[in-house]
Amino acid sequence: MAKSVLIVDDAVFMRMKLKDILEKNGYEIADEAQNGQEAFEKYKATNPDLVTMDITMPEVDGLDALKMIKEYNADAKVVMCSAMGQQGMVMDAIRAGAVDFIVKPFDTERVIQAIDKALS
Amino acid sequence: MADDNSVYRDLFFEESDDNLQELNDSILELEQNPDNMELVNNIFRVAHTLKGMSATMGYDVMTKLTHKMEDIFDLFKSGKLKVTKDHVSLIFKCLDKLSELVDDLRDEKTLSDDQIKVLWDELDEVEKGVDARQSIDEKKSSSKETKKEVAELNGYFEKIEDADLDVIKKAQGEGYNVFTIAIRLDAKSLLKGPRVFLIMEKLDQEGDVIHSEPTTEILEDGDFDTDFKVIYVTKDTFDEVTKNINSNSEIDQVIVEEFDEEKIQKPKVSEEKDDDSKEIVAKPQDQLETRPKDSEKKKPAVKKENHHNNRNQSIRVDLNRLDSFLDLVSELVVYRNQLADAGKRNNADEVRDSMEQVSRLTSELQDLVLKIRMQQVSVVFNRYPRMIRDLANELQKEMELVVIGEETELDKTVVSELSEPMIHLLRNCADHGIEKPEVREKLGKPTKGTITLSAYQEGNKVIITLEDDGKGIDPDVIKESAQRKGINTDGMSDRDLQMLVFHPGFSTAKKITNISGRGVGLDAVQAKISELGGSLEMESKVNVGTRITIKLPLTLSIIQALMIRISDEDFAIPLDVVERVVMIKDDEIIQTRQNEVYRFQGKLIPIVRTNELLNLPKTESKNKFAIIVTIGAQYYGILADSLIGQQEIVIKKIDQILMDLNKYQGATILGNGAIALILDVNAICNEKKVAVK
Repeated sequence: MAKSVLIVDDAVFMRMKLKDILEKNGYEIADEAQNGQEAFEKYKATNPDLVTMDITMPEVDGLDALKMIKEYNADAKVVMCSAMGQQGMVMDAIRAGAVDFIVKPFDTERVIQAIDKALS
Repeated sequence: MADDNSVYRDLFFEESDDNLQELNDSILELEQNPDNMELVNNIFRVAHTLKGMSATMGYDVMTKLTHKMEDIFDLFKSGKLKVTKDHVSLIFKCLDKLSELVDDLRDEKTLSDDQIKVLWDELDEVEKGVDARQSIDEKKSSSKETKKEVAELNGYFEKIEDADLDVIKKAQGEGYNVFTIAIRLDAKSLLKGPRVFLIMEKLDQEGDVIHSEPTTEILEDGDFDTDFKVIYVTKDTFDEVTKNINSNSEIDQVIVEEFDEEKIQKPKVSEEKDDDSKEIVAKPQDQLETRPKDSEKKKPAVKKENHHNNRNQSIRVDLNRLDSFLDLVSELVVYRNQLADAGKRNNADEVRDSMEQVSRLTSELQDLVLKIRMQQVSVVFNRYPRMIRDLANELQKEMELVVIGEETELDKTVVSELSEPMIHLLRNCADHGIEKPEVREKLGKPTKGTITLSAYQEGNKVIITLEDDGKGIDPDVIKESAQRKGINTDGMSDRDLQMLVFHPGFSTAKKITNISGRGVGLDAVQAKISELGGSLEMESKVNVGTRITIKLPLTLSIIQALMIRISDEDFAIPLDVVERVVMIKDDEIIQTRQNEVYRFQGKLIPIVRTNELLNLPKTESKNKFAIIVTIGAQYYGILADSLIGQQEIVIKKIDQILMDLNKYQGATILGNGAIALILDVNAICNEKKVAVK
């Protein structure tokens, strides 16, 4: 059965691109969320195999959402999506239990490599 | 390697690292803006400096490579060669090689030409390609061929401390496995710092990383190329460790090996690399085999490497920390002034008492931090005699360098920034100043030329003079050369003409030499000195010699100032230019034909009406104060309505737009929280001088 991924990003374009990349590589999209709070709600509702989590988002940001999800399910696999120059945030996310991170702008091969590894 | 240079090694490495960093940054930028000439000029200049530095240290291999790189940059500069991606990649490879060379030098290894041969040939080919006007396509293919020649990933460690070896032995005794792990990240990997951090986090969950190269600090800052190595102590098996590492993304290559003390040192370059066959090199996805553990007995402790010179008992302090220390103290001075102000108003004894303490403490603290930052100019000066000796040989001239006052101290930033401009000046002295022995003999001069470099402190400034007894700068030659270059020389005095050598892009050298280069340098010198808040003057007489005088501020951030009031506004004048303050009446100002002057010590000196200059409303007071300042050898009287007093002020930078007015050198925060501008007396008086003309 195809593994399911919850895509979290406040930019529609980014979600579309990720969705496209993932679907073409045999993943199923569990759902999409555009902020941290929604991500947490949808995580609970869909229980996906993996979450791609943007760091910068309005209201509840990716870091907080990550913490909420990890508290709800310590085994949750979350891959952070970061822009250049967010070293500090990425470090924090790793400390909070993110399995990996990918750096924007996304490169298909890199995204797939990270997600494959996270799920293997 | 010559031993006499060993004291300056640290400085050389520090500067090389900076220069390489700057080149890396600039070239990255150049790739984006291939037509940015300013950038090309800057790159050329930095490469030139690097070449000069390595030549000074006698590192021939490094000099050779940088010289070749400089040639390429020169082609970029002249537009003969277009900046392409392939060229940029090649240059990056050269930069990596240079870092490698610098690292080798740091470890006191001897360099060989073999290390740079491939790159040198490649550069040479690009250069020749331009000469022969080959098509760009051909060039591309030639540089692509060698693209694969990236150094192999290896598990050798540069330096392992005895303590670590003890830990390793102990761990092995207790049934832990010890592995050396070499990892190469994907060349395109972004945010390398967090990437390494993630890998390390995963390793730390199952064991301990006891040593890494580069250090974890550098790794977490992402301040490395693609490769790093660690020694890892764990209960995990070889397979588990390999799996753990391969669970990370963006890894290009991994080598995991059982720790073996004899295999962690890099073999001599001359030796055949027969060890390689035993190494397990694999793509992360591939299956890895376990290598049988070597049962050989371990050798006693690794040779202890001692890079550091113990001559000076000094602590290496992170300059950033020192800077913030200074910032804090600067702030403290502001608050002290504020407190003093409050004390005056409320007349509370307690405030004053505690104030005295704060005052004493801050002054001490301030003195201390400034002293910590002080460094003797000898740190850079002492490298020069060797350089002059080498230059003399190369140019077949006779000359010696006399250094005076090398114990003079300056702020560390100023000292290290001073090195490049001084090298440029000295090289020019040797190359253009000192004549060949035959020529000198004919002129009745001693065949051996003398270059005198001296430094001394004068008030708040350090004066550095560089004097030679060479041929001097002939204004007529300069004039001719300037006209040829399309520079308008109408109405220029001989002195003005001589100062043209500091004009960007001006070079009198008829042909390019290895010594003083191609017209970069002197303008850079000028720029650097003003950047440091200093000034540069030159006197030169044909066939007598040239003297360059550089004045530098002792420190860059706290100065003694005279606070004055002009039309109800407060201003600060740096105290070190103030000669005297006199009270003058309106009728003591004498109107000459187009100027106002005042009789001071029997001489007439120009008066600067600051309110007019600064567009402030005129005040009707009969008595004014004239602040007599000295600029160059000339006195000027700056008019003020009243004096506030002498105060120590912290110079704060102001907006560039205000700086461009050329009337203020900064601003400061006063005790009452108000802001006062610091008058740039130099600029104001020079403007007056121009107006007088």
